[in-house]
Amino acid sequence: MPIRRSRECSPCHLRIRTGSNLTNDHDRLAYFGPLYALINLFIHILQHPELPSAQSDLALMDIGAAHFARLEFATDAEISMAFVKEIAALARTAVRRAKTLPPRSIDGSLGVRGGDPLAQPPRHTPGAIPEQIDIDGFEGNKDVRSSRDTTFFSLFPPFENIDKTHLTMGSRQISLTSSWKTGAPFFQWMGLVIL
Amino acid sequence: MLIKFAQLSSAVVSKLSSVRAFRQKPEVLVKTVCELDEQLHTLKSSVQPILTLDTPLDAVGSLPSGITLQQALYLHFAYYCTILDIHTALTLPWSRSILGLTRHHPLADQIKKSAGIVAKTSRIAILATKHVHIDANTPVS
Repeated sequence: MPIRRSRECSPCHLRIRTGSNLTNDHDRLAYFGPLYALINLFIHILQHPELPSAQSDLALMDIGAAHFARLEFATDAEISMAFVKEIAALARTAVRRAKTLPPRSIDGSLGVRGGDPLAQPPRHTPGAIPEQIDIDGFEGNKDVRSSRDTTFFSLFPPFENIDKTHLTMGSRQISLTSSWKTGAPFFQWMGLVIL
Repeated sequence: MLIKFAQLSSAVVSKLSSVRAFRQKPEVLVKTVCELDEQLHTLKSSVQPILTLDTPLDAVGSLPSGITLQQALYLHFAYYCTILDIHTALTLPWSRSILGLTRHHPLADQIKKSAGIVAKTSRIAILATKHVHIDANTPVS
């Protein structure tokens, strides 16, 4: 149980409990609850980037990221969540793309907006935002094992490579089974699908 | 009250977050979601005379006497997390893919309703973070 001196609450000491269960009621307050809300709002924005509420939702994403920035400052970067800043930026890019690109094709197929529906979706290069993220149109199946389909996740630029146990984000490799500290329920759910 | 929320949260996790839950038919899962939502609504109604949980927390005006801001926040976040636990079973894209739910599925109305609840709750929860006071006693992971 490391004890660090906080700049914000000096001369007090900020207690950091490590290895605890994130679903603990107390953890919901400053860490798990805001993170959970941010991830769900991020998904909502990706699903409906064209809604009028998307712009205010982007502001809320920034407000949530600011909460974690404050947490990072208070703990001398002991708790650093670059993840929330990244999803806030990704959501902003998705909304910008939705505004600039023509409406999606009527067939609702998973592919490029306004393009030939029969054409193969382009291969996304690392760091590039896909032309369209159509979560609603993702047709899954009931078999958990065969739903280990990387098509959906490969649409997200941070997830360049996915195998049974790891995600590769840039130079970082994240274990799906021990990623509670960095990705919380987002990766837990991904682990459920992929494993 | 937190104990009741914890008990409900436990029930939600066991009924909706297990692999077995996702091997059920979508209709069964939707029914479970509706039942748990009803239980949460009942619990929320029991808190209603003291605290309104489904609106943004107003630290200045709405706190009843005898409840500190920290206690109110605990209750609010317990409520937010439980409602998200319940409804994200139908809204997360990977859950939908496991269940075989599409936008044209007969249960699309419930999915749309759950998506609306998740978005609204997420917004309120993020707004509530402005009241979270970070100090030496703030529990974090």
